[in-house]
Amino acid sequence: MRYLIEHETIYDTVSGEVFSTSSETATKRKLTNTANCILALLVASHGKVVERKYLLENVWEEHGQSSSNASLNQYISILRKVLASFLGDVEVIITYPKVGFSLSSGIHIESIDDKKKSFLTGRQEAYSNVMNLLNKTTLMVVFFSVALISGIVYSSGLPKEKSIKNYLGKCQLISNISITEKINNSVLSTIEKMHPDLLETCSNSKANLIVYFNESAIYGKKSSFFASLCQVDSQTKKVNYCNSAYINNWSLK
Amino acid sequence: MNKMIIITFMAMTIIISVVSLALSFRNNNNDCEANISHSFAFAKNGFNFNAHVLYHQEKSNNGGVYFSGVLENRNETYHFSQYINIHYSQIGTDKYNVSIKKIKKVGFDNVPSDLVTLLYEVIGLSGDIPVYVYNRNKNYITTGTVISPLMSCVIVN
Repeated sequence: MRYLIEHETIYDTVSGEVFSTSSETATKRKLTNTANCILALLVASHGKVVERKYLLENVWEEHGQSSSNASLNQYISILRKVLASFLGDVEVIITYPKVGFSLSSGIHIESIDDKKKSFLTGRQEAYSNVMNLLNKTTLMVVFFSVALISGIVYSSGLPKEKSIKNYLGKCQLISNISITEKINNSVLSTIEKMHPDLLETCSNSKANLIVYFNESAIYGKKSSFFASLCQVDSQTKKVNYCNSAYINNWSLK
Repeated sequence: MNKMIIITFMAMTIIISVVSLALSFRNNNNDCEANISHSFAFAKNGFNFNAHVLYHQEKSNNGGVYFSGVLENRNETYHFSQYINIHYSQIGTDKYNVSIKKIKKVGFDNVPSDLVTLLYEVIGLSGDIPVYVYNRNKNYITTGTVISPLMSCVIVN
């Protein structure tokens, strides 16, 4: 199975190779069998904590090798260095002291096989693919992180954009409200009506999706609803253009 | 020989400083571009418009907005194309008072004046309510009123 990490780095669980798609001259790194096993297990449980015991049993003991926490730590350290050489100083592997490790839910990972399918087929499959990604995300964390509320408020009470990496396909979602699984469909449906090209855009290119509505909407009240879709240039990382849409009498259905 | 190296070094430093200064001025460009689509339900009457917005920074605290698009009100469709001179003053952190100094029609524009007033009111240009900068990113900003963000505007270099 091959995975695309943060849209630019490919990890092949079969060969244990990690390489970048953005530059042909980029170094290809081949993991040792042990490191590859650990990373494969972490990727398979993306966003969830994988316990030390589980890793020790499945990587070492199952193959008749003796295991230790020290060697596990050493391999985690190696993996961090390898991933940092491709992804920069992003916290990819999170340590849960005395519990285990997880691949950060803030890191975007998708199966390349799934992605190819969505490119080749029409809107129906693109929708399905994005929805699958969406469901994966919502199962791992809540769709938009609760942290959005806590750390992004101005002294004036207004929300400030925070670069929390939650994704709808390739679109980075930025919202003032934590969008839970319960309200996810209604919010997505509203955004789709405002931006009919949403799913196509988020399947094919990077974009920032800024969503704003009042918290009272969660409790059945009417609210304004704002959604801005800003397409990002894959080379310069700058926003090319934004389409902003606003409705003033919206409610959750 | 050492004197030559020092002079060359100083000359290079001056050139780099001047170029950096010029580039920093260039990057302070505040002109921006937005596409907006707003839909308002006022009682039984729908009031919708799609617009292309170009903001041009003029002298300090003054700017011009080229605002063009299509407006629908009570099943009637109108076209608007206007250049608005605005004056703004900062009244708080990312909080501004904006007032319209002059509206000039540019090309074809058949929007009734009462709808023009309403149009600018709902996007926060009436001067009655402050305009906020909600999000400030590398090359775009999101502005709006206290009620909600209203548009993301991409900085034009």
